Amino acid sequence: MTSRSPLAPPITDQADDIDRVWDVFLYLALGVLAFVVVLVVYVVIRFRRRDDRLPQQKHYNIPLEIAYTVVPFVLVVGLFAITVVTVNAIDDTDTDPDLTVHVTAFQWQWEFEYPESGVRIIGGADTDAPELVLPADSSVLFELESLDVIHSFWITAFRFKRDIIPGTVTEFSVDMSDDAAGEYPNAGVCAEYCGLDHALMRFSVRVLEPAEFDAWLVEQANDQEVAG
Amino acid sequence: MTAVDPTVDPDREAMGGADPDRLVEIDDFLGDPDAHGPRGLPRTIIGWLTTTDHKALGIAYIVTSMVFLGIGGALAGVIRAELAEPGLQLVSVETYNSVFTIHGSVMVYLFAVPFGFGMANYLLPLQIGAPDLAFPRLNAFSYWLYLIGGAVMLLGFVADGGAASFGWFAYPPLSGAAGTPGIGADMWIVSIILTGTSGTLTAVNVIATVTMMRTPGMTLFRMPILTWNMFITSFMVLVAFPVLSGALLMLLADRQFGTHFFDPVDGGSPILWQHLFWFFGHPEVYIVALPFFGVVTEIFPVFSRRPVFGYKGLVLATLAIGALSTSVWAHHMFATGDLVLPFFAATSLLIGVPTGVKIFNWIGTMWDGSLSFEAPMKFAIGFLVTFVAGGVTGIMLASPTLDFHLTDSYFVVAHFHYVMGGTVIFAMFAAIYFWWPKVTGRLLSEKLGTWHFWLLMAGFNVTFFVQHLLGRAGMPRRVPDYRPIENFELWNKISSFGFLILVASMVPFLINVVRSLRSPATVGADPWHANSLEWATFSPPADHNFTWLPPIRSERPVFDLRWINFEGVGAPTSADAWEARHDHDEQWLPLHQWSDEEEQKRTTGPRPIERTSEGQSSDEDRADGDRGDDGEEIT
Repeated sequence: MTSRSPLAPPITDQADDIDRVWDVFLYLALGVLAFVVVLVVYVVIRFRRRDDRLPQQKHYNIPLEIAYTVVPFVLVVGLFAITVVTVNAIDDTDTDPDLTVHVTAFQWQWEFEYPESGVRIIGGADTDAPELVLPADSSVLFELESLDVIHSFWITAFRFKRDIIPGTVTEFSVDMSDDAAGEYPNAGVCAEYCGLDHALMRFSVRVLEPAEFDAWLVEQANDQEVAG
Repeated sequence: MTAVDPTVDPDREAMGGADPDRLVEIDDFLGDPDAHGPRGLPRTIIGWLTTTDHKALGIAYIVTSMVFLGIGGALAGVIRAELAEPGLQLVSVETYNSVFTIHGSVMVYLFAVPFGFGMANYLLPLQIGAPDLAFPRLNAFSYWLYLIGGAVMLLGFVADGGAASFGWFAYPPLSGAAGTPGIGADMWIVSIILTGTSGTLTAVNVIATVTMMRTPGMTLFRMPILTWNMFITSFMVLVAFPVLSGALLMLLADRQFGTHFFDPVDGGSPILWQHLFWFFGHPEVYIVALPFFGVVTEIFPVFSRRPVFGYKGLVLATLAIGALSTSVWAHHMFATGDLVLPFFAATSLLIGVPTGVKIFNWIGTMWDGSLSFEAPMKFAIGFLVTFVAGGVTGIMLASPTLDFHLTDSYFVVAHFHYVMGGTVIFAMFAAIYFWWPKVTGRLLSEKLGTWHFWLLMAGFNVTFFVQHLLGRAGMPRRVPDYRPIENFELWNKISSFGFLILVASMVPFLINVVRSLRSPATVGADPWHANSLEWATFSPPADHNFTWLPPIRSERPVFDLRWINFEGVGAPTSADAWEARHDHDEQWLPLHQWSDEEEQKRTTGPRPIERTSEGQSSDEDRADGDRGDDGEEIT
């Protein structure tokens, strides 16, 4: 399925972690579902009505009831432990990133600004989806700001989104994987419904090797200086 | 007695074979159904407009909410038609945005919750042996508030600028005056204040009824689980609904009166709305679900011929869900990052435990039973499977690690359609097939019920299962258009095709309903051999419900009575209670001065039970020694 899936591959260290957690939850969920379905099918076949006798009327079994309370509880505690460990790592903001990207969302487009070099990429009504360019093998801090309503900055290849609330600047950081370089044309989208053209608030992601990225940034800075 | 069957568990055999000659039928106690005045629903328009009868209002709630289900379903049809292909084909973006907003709002506010209130109306007084709810006129007021509220929401479509289009949770600033101008949005707010108030009043009514109007012998721990769940749900309503109404008033004030509660430009907080809304919104999910959990908990025992397994554990689990449900709200807001993530992850994961307990209670009820698969049982089992499928994705979403990716995607859409759509609809049809004979005095066809069930099962899963894949792959919710990627297109087509099967599944149901209503009403009081008190009165019940009640010594008074001629089957004290009632009647009834008419009625009824040692069957058994009269006395 992975080869044909429209889901972009994970391109950050955090996304790799999230995919590992996903696997744990997914297999456990499928296991629980299969267990219950098998139980129900067994019960339906084994205990179907065969005659008019009244079955036994025992209406409780304390040890069993404790067991089926404690076992799910233990599972949930395990899942909670996995969650806390990973979520703290994901939610940890890098104070000294290799690159900062300032994202401005507005109805219904994106602007990506690289404050260190002054480069800006703005999506317009009649342009294609804007492209967010990032370096591989680097830590990146995203500062998110909205000019109007709530948006949500979702890069599927990050397995992560963060809401953009007007009136505050939200932020998060990622560590781009060293093998992240590539084009991810369908990876970016606004996930929080934001009015009329919410569906068109998409962007693409392109990841370059660090050296190429620096060259690209210089080139963009020069272009924008000439244009500006 | 039937011969010993060596393949049968000796424990079962000790219960005695079921010899129909010695089983007690409720009908034998009730006598002529039409001897006690009018039964059934109002027959005139004035009758409907002025009724305060809980049964008539219950049916009004249920029919109205099913009309809203039809409207919400039609709106869903627009959504699935538009999404069958990428690009815009059918409707404009503006219309699409209104359609999904009103689809969600109708289903949540106008269908799922009011259907539960309808069941509370009709069944709860019957299940506790009461003649009506505690405040019948308040109850009528609640219904009319709900109907008017619903109408106001739908009238938004003809308002200037169209119906509300900010999604059913109305996040400001988008839902503010600048984000969504137009009167349709204000109508949406007013509509939900009205229906919310209606719900709050019904909750007050249910709590007062359960607290004050249980018949003698009906202790809390003898109440049917459905009544328990309605009772607990009502407390949750009292916690959650006023918060929503208050928040909506604040939003209305922001839009109309220039306040700035949620407007960031002037120092308001959009996040505040999210906290208030979800503080309502998550208890709401359980407010929707608990009554339907109650429904299947009534159905599994009847068609398994077993008592509820772990009754007290089940009640405790429901209480735990009620308590925890007020502390999980912010799991809808993980992606804001503005939270103590581990706390809300912990409570959200934890609420899976009592919910899981219920699943094992239901399986435990069927275990070792004698299962038959009439339509109510089919739908109840369908509910169980659908609910587990929705529950396990709920556990995934409770972990912020995964929720960051999955929230606001079609994965969430799939999840809550499994837990709120599938479980509600399967359990709702289970309830309809189960109580249909009680309400109408008629049966529904099993054959059509089977068609209905399997088409619904297929249609539901085909529609919603692929939405998990879509969401995980990156399709956001609330979009009329999506990228023309191969699998997105395929999966959306499958989902839209599944919706057609869902619609088709309603055909056998509607035929079934029409056919049944045209047949004569000949079903007795207790066609399923059920357990709780609503089966101890006529179908449909007489005015003020009961002319007679069995002694109540367990959570299954009707079962206890049916098996009273067998040692050790029913509640141990129910036979004693029956004797005591008999002795009481022998001693005291002769002192009563009967009019000729009363004497006639007393002495000509049937006499089914032969318990008295003298072997003399006397009619006094029919009079109710425990309470002296029918339910009216305790009002």
